[in-house]
Amino acid sequence: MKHVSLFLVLIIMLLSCNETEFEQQVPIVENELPATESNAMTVSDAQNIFHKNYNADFISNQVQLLSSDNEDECFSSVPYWYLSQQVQLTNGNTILSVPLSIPNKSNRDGRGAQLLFFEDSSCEFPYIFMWYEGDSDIKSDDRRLNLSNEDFKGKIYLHNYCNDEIAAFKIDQGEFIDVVELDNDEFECDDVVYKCPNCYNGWKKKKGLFKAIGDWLSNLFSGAGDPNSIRIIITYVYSGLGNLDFPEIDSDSGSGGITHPTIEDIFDDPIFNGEGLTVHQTLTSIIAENNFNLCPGELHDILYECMKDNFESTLSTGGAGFGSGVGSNVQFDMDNYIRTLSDPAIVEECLSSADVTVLEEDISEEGVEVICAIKQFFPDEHVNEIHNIIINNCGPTGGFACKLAQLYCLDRLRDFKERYGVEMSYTELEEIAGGACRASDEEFDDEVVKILFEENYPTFYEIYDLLGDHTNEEKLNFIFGEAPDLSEFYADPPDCEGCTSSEAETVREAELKAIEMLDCILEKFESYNGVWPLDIVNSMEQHFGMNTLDVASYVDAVFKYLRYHPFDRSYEAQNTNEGYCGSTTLAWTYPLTQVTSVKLCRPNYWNSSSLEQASTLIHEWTHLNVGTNDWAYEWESEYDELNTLTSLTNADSYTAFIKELCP
Amino acid sequence: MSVKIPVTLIILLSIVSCVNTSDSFDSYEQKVLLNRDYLLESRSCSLSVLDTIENNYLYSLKFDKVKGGGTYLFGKKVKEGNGYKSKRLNIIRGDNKIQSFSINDFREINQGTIDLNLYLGN
Repeated sequence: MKHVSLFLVLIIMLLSCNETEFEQQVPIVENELPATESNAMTVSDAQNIFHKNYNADFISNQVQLLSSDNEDECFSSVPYWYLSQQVQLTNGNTILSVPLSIPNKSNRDGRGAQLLFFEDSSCEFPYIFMWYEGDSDIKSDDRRLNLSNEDFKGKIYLHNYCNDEIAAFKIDQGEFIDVVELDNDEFECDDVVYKCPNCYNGWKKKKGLFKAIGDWLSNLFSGAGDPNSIRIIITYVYSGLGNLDFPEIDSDSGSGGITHPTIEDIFDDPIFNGEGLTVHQTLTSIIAENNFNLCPGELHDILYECMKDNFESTLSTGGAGFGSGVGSNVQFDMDNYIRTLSDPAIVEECLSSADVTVLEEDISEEGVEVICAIKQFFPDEHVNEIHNIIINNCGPTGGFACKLAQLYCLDRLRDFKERYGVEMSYTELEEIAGGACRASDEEFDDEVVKILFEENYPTFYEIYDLLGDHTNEEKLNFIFGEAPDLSEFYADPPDCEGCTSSEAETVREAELKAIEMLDCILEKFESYNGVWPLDIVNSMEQHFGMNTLDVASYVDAVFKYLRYHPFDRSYEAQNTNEGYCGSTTLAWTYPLTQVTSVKLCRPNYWNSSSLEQASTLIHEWTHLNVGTNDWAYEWESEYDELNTLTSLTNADSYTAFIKELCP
Repeated sequence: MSVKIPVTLIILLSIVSCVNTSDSFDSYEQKVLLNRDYLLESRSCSLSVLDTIENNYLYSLKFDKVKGGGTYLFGKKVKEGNGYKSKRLNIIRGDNKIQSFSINDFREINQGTIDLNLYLGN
């Protein structure tokens, strides 16, 4: 009965074991995300919404939904994150406008595509896809001269992913006409609206989709159905109408911006209109033709400055060159900028004084898009590595959707590396975490950590299970980190029931000696490669029957677990014949219970040497925390007959090993 | 459930009812006499030949201090590594183990020098 009662108590203790004491004693500082202003949508927020919380298949589908790889594609879907602009609305909200690319063949005046991200916790996808399409009867020169959209005539199509509503606006000469339900035919993928047979599926949805447009707008802009709320978005989309509630830029500043974008800041304007995309595409072509190690925005900065100065100079002297062939009233407008970009001689002249490096390999326009997309996420030193991974995974002719999806997955790894300080190359990490770009952040982290653990400790999943309640940061520290500084943890004598203060101090010294021995053995393992250093090779062979890296990683993991896991430090002194303390007994414990105390037998434990006291603790810790058995002791003939698997669960194998190498 | 709960309890009881003890066994010295045709073998005892007496070697044995212990299940010892009880010294002839001795065996004989030749036939 006495034993049964004890067992029940221990069962309760076992069931209540949840590592909370450890967490309280050694607090882990969580990485904190930078605080963001309420209602302020940042690029990072938008990226989280767009791709970071989803698996590779979803991302691939999402990307493909917005793009088409066929010859007649309407548009592709490279979000130019680096061209993102925050737009402050008069209701205090900030939305983020992210331009999307449009393929050259589909690009023409008055076309544009972008994503508008906004705060809305009620839905999973709080962004709007927007496509604007100018009618062909606009006098393009008029529009290009001032780059405002005051004479815009055409349609603006929107798909709100938050509520899956689709809307269309008709605009004429800058005036918002109405929210109208267009004829069904206009939303069919035919030549009436789009010159492509495989356009955006969302627009195939037709009837009844616009009835909720007012609610949608009021939800988005907190307009509560006020018709002005509709005007606000039109103001935003159609920046020429800067006289409504939309904030205006000081016209004296000459900075252009949202009301009057200029050539100079065409990439800085939230309205990434058709002109901007044309420039972008032209610049992309120049980069691809010359294999420049540049992205369009960078090339634009160089060329714009050069052309602007030379253009004015040429005009003032009336000579040939930048302004030649464009008539007498030559202005440096968008039209002439694009026209000049197509002159290789001028581009070459402008670049002659610029420090532009050329890539060794040929690069396609798509390659430029991919590399520049990579540069949006990764610093320059990692661009080649990331590009190689993407090409390896998608193949050189792989679809753009695949490449973007891969990029987003790799970006998850970047976050992962930063979050946990993992110092591994992306190539290594990607190989280990291959296919692990899935699910939410927390699940993704768990998955990658588990994969990393299995990779580093392929034969010792038990250690991962033992660490089950610990944070991912702690688990990664276990694999890659340095041993925690537990000096404070061991600063005071442990809780030793029945001990005198002198006895408790002796136990504390034994703990510290044991920690020293563990640090020593872990340091030796750091340089172990299976054949060197020889002392480990020989001792592994002697005590564990094998010296392979797999077996060594198992042994290393056990010692790491003992070292990294600040134990309960609970001891109890017992006299001879008390508990299991016999005449020769130093200590005893209940294996694998963790929360129970190590029983130290008086006087034997305290009469033993300091090495014996420390190694006895290590021995008991392996019983208590890793569940080892006493299959055989080193001095017994059976010890040599233990196979490797049994040795790995034999307490004295660890004790003898560490005493031999780190006495 | 009615089956699973007892099984779980049994497993838990098996775990918590298991006890491992760590014991220490002091070193022990003994002189022995043994015919030169036989060899002494031990993995935890140092041997040195002190003298040759007729056809025998006079050995000095020093059994190392060792650590051992016991495994108890429900209070009953199921396995033991006892440095005093364990047969740590073997007498070998050719490939055959002829006889084995523990420290307790020597303590029982209780002689300053033990003539192991007397025990070869046992």
